[in-house]
Amino acid sequence: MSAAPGIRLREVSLTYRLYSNKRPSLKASLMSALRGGQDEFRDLPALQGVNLEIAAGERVGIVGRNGAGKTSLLRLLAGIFPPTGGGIEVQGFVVPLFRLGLGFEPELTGEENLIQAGALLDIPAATMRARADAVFEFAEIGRFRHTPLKYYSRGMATRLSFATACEVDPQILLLDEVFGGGDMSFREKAVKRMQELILRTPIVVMVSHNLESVRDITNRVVWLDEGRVRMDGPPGEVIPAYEAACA
Amino acid sequence: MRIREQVGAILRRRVLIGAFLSVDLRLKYRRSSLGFLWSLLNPLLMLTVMAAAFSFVFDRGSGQGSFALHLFACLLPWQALTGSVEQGGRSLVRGENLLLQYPLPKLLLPLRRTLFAFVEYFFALLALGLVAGFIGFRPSWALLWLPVGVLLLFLFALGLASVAAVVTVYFRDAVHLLGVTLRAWFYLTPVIIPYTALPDSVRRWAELNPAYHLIKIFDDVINLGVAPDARTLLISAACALSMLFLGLWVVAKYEHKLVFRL
Repeated sequence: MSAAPGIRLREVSLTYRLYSNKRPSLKASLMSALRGGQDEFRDLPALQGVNLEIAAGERVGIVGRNGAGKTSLLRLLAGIFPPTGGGIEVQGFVVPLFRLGLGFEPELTGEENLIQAGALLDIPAATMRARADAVFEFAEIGRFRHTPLKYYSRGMATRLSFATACEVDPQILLLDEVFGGGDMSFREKAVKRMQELILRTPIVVMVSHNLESVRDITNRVVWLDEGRVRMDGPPGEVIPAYEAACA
Repeated sequence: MRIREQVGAILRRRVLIGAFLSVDLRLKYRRSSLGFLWSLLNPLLMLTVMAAAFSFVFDRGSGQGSFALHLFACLLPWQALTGSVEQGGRSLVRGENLLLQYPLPKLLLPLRRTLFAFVEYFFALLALGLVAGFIGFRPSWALLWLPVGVLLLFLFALGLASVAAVVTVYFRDAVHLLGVTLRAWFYLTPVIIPYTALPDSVRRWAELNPAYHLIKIFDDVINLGVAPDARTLLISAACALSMLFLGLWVVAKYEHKLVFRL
């Protein structure tokens, strides 16, 4: 990847179609067809006319109320959701670090999860195995290397995912609420692990309700309100405005 | 998304496919003391029970070749087929966490389950090889056709598993229907009763079933030691490719839509 990493969104919109039956079934469809009705749904605009350009060196925090479209935006950047309208260009090696970890599976050991996480990002097992020592040392969980992930504490699992993300050298790192919950000491350790990761990554986009960590980490904040960009600027300006609106 | 792009996307994810296979194999036998050995022992024990049970029901005069060998030859690929379809059918719904984290080609998930079912078939075949000599197996050149039979069945299974996976996303109770349907299909396919034992009047109808031809190849090359006839091969190939195409088409059509329905 020779070109500098970058993100460009032009007039991007994303509309969810919400169906009245969350768990669709043959039975329900059959019954509704017999009654002569269509599947009931309504369209929910998650993002509307979003314009955003992010260049190398920017650490962008996304803030906004629940349902403002933060996670949708992140999934759009990760390539999981295709936009309903507009254009999106993402240049660079994207690593999504969401609430779910890196696609970790509880039955697999720490090392196996490390290898699978690499494979999900297209990194061969041999490469990941060679980096395993560094990861477990960095995460300070060497003793649990061959223990299934389900016996890990939340803090250990989070440290493993940060350490893993560090080793795969992302160009664009997407973080979604990775600090949600956890006690203070865990959070401090996690932040330390994370700062190293963030220093190494050209572009970071993070979603968090924790404004303190947004202030610590980012140099630009985008405030989303009902799917639109309400404000976009330095943390020192956007965060106080957002706080004022929330109060 | 076009089918060609889709196949290209799958081929680019070879690293991940390998990792999934290794994970699935580890997980399956992780907690057993015999570990990997179970992948050989399990089919062996199952086949012994089935052969013993059904030998009482069917006398050896029905059909040709050895009944036990026929049963082993046909039941193992049948299980690979139904295993693919059952596990593959659930794969997209169960893969929710992965699909909402990474932009994976959707075909990857039914493919993972189908590949695993056929890896298990490979082990079962090794197990069969260990005992084949005792139940009337005589090696013949016809065995060279076995890879062709496996390939056709694999393509058919992959197509069907992909269709089942997409349908299950939109109709969650399809899984239950699938189990019953597979059970009915089992009795309509000459897996237990050899196809050579079917009267002509029945066979004419049985031949409408694609699985009849696909499974027949296995009976021919393993049990009867004859090369499959051209008609069987052509029908099997046509069924396999049609089903594969249908599966690829359905997944391609819903590639960008189904992630919203997880």
